[in-house]
Amino acid sequence: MNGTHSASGTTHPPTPVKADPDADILLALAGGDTAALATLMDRHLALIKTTARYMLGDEMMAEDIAQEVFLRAWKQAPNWQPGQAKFSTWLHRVAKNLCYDRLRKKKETYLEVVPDMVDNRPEALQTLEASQNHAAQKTKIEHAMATLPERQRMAITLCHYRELSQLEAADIMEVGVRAYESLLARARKNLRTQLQSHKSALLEN
Amino acid sequence: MSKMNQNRIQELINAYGADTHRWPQTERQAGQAWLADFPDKSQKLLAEADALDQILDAAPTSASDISFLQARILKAAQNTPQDGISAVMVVNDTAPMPAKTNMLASWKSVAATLMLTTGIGFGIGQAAAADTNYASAEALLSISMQSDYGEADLFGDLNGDGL
Repeated sequence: MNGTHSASGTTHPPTPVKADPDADILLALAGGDTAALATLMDRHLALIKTTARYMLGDEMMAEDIAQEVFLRAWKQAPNWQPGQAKFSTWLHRVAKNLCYDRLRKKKETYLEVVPDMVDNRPEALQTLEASQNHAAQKTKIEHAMATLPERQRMAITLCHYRELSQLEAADIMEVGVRAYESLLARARKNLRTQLQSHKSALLEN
Repeated sequence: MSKMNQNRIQELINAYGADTHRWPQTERQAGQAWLADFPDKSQKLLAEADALDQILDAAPTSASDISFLQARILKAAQNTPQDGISAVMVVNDTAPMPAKTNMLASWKSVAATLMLTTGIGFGIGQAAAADTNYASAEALLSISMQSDYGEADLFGDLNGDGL
């Protein structure tokens, strides 16, 4: 690809590719060396899985996505053409696309798991209540994230949780930096609206 | 240092939040200087964004050990042939790439060059297309490489959240 395309069809100049930090293992990976795959995972698996976890709100699904990403890297490594983008950017784009696809298939299901109350002592009940409150607050945040359009969710994940640079995140999302910024602003505005009524309780926790 | 004014500061806060280390590197220093120069205004502008940042920080994190997942992926990879390599070839995962495969890679390189010169390239966008729903997107993308209509456009159409 010669550049990043925006939704309006405008072509952005490609981000210049500096030396790929994974260049040292790509040849071995293309040659079927599983040690190279292990090294690649040491470098990127945790981050890919974290991104998928925030996008999907589900640990098991995040693991499935991560596995698929690295198996595709493994399978397609012999076809890799250096110089187009960093290999890690390619990995994140695959993860992004798989997450988008999974979100489209996923039905909204929110199951509230209430622990069995076997200890009726006041202090135990207090601890349980605090734990349930904490879990409920987290669920509210996850729910607010889940209601975001997928690209806004990806933008906030890459910026807030992954703390990627503006250029790197825009590159992964295949949009220009202004479009990325716009997605972020809309994501934060939507989250503020969603969480407004719970703000005090959330901040207390 | 880039120019900074209240409008841009507001835009940065709206997009990236109150923590300036998440701001674009090219504007961070100028932004921090502006915030220091106008503490009263800054406090007002940052307050709401800071509250949202704190709330987002409380979201559940992925804390599980990934060593099991890594082992699972490695095992799956050992049973997964790479493109251009037969299943038999990956049984011995420490074996170097067979000469036959190198020849195939060379052939692919020549073919790719020919394809690029005719405007039908295999690019990262195509390689990154995911899952079955993207099969049609991949097919479209090969056309898009010639028609200046890229993968982001396809996502834009599919997402419907308007950019």
